[in-house]
Amino acid sequence: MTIDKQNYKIHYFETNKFNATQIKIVFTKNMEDKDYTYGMLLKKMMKSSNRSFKNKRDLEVKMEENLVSWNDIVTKGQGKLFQFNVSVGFLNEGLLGLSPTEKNLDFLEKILFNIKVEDEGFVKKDFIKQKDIYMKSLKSLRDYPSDYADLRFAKVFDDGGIFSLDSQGEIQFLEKCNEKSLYNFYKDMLNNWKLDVFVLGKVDVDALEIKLDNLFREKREVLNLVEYKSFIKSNSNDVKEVKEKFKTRQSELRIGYTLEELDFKEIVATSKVLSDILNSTSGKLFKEVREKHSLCYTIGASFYQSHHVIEVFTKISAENYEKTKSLIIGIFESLKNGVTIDELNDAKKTWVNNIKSAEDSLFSFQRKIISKEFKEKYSNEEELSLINSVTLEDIVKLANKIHLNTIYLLEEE
Amino acid sequence: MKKTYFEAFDLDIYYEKISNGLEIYVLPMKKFSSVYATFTTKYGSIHNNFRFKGEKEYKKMPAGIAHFLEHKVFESENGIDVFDVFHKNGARPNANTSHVRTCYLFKTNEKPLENLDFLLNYVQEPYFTDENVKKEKGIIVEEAKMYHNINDYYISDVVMNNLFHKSEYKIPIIGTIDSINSITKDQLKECYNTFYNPSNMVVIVTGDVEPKETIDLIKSNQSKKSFPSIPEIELFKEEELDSVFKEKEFLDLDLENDTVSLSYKISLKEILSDGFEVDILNWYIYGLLFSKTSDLNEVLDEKNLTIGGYSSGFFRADDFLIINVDFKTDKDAEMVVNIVDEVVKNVEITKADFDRKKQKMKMVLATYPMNVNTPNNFILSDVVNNGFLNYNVLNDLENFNYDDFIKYYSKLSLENKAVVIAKKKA
Repeated sequence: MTIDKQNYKIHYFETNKFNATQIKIVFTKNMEDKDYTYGMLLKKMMKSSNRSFKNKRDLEVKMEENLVSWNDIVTKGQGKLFQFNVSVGFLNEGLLGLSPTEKNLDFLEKILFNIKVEDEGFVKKDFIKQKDIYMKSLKSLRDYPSDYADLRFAKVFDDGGIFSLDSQGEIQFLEKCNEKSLYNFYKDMLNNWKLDVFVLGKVDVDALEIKLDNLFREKREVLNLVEYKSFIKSNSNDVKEVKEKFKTRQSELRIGYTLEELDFKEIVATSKVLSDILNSTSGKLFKEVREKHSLCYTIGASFYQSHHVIEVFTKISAENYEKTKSLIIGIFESLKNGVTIDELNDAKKTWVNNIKSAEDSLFSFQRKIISKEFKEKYSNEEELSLINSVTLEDIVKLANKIHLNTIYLLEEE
Repeated sequence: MKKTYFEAFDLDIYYEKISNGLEIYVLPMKKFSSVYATFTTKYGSIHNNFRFKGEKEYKKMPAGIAHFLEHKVFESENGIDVFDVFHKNGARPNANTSHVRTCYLFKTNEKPLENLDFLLNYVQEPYFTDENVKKEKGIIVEEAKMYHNINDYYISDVVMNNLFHKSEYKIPIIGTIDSINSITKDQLKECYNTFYNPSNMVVIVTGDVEPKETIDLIKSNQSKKSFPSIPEIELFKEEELDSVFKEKEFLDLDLENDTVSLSYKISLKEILSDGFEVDILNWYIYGLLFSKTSDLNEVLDEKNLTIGGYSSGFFRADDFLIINVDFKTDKDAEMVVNIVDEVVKNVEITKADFDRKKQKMKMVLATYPMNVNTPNNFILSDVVNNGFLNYNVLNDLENFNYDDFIKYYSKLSLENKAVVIAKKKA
């Protein structure tokens, strides 16, 4: 059930299935370049400069004392939208003789509202410490070749676009951030961003509503969100091929494809079926590149539907670059000629199962609910029906909307 | 078929050991629509030197052969693609190898018994040829290079090597590129015939299943196959010293910051000889001394000694509890290591801390049945590591008190540790 409180919404899905409840508070705004960076730093401030917790260790102890089974603060992009999520998870009332709901809500309140403030900004000493730690972490990116390859690929593929923003944050935005600008970002989040509270589990809804009303009683000027879909900036027909040398012991290959705008069926069903045809352990990439030619251990294709991007990723020996590249491009070209009926039916079956098993995990269940709030809205029945209705022609139509754009190799020196 | 109430999960577990020695656990979880099944041999990367009872010589195998075998078991003589069969049946298969076991599994919402039947069949009917062994080497070598290329994994492998003198825990689960390349078809067959006998294996099924029909299906499947009755397997083991092989090592990986991996090697020999089951004790030691609620977190954070905190974990390696602490620092790495050491050796554990951890552990156990995978993994871990499922774990946890903890904790030493420091680029 959804309770519309005018300046925020409560989405409550009652279930006893998981023995536990998760409450997730989701703030959403239109994406700006600096958001990932500011969001990551805000997360650090919430946990380390908080009036309710002496230090990070004290926060962890208080979690245990307050019967918080898990707590998470996550920044997330959904195409052109940026989200800051704070969640707690706890055992359902009465299990082990415990009453954790109220304690968890109190904990959530402390995390969200008790960051230390002075002179219309966060406490400078704490801010500088966290900024310094964060800066050093960002500068360590090169110690992780796979993450570094992802970032470099994104920059080559969509320089200056939303897809190229590093979800871990970026030094250029961090350098400009100070204790006051981050505080303003935080105030803006509390007062102006769209606010949704997602609850999956079993709680006393009336008590929850009173508590949340108390937390968010201030009148909020909720901004209008743009449509979530985004496209990469450069959509030229010229294929970019970039190789960069790096001190690594294995080369990282990324191949980026753009997608034309998808219709409703392609978003809900056809792209998922095609993803399985490419991606599973029975998929074309795994079978051809790994099993038949032994060129890699890991290979896959990420469908970034919100961005209209497909990114193929694999790790190879540099001497196998040309062969691997040709095989992957050949697989995508072959999709335009169609797939077999067996491939189609097996992929459909996988997705029907995925839809069912998503409801067997609290986390995937809630992720799906949240995604539907901001993207296309459809029921499970509608999704199942559309998946089952995907035809061979649908696959060919979608395959023809996929265009090779960028080939990137982070090559061992 | 024996039914036992498992209080920790508030669910019934069904158990049977069938005539060929195969053990079966079934945990019906009716709130879920998925089924998760694992078929596991108690054979992992440390079982590299073995013989049957009565044989004179031990057989020494190349490092990484258990993991190589995991890959090859997916090959079948009639050319059936294992992945395709599961895919057609709506199931998602996988497999993994640890130091002590190799596990084949699937998760499904459809045809659980058909998939289970197939799981048993493909694992018990492998097909080894020189050609398919050679083909797999290319894939596994790329996998080894992948792990080698992740600096944190690489450093952790060096620490493991430095912790142990003779134990097979020294060697990475995947082996080395040389050892992988040396593996032959005949060696794979030898290991398979030794360790994949049903008497060394266990099936665990959790989720939306009926226990009787599940166990009946497994019995029926096994009754159609014959397996040789094998003598007891003897593993060659040399006494592992309490000390570490190498206390300190510096690596030149050209990193942005000094990266440190520190592991304690805590001998449990004295406690084990008392007949005490150490799993709960190990959990408390880790939780109270090294987790994010410990003094260690406070000191590292307040003194700003690491970049982005630290990660830690623990596991049991034969007679030792291994606890590792990993972090990056822009301070003098050796100085930070000394501070870590000083802090963990001087922790004062109060009864309140202990009771809070007890509550936490009970909560963790109660959340395991949040999905169909975690209870399966919990049962598997207990069966492989201890040889049986402890049905009384909740009771044991409740009855283990602060005085017990102090008594056993005082018998342990944190003196033996290995430190690896990957220095930042000059």
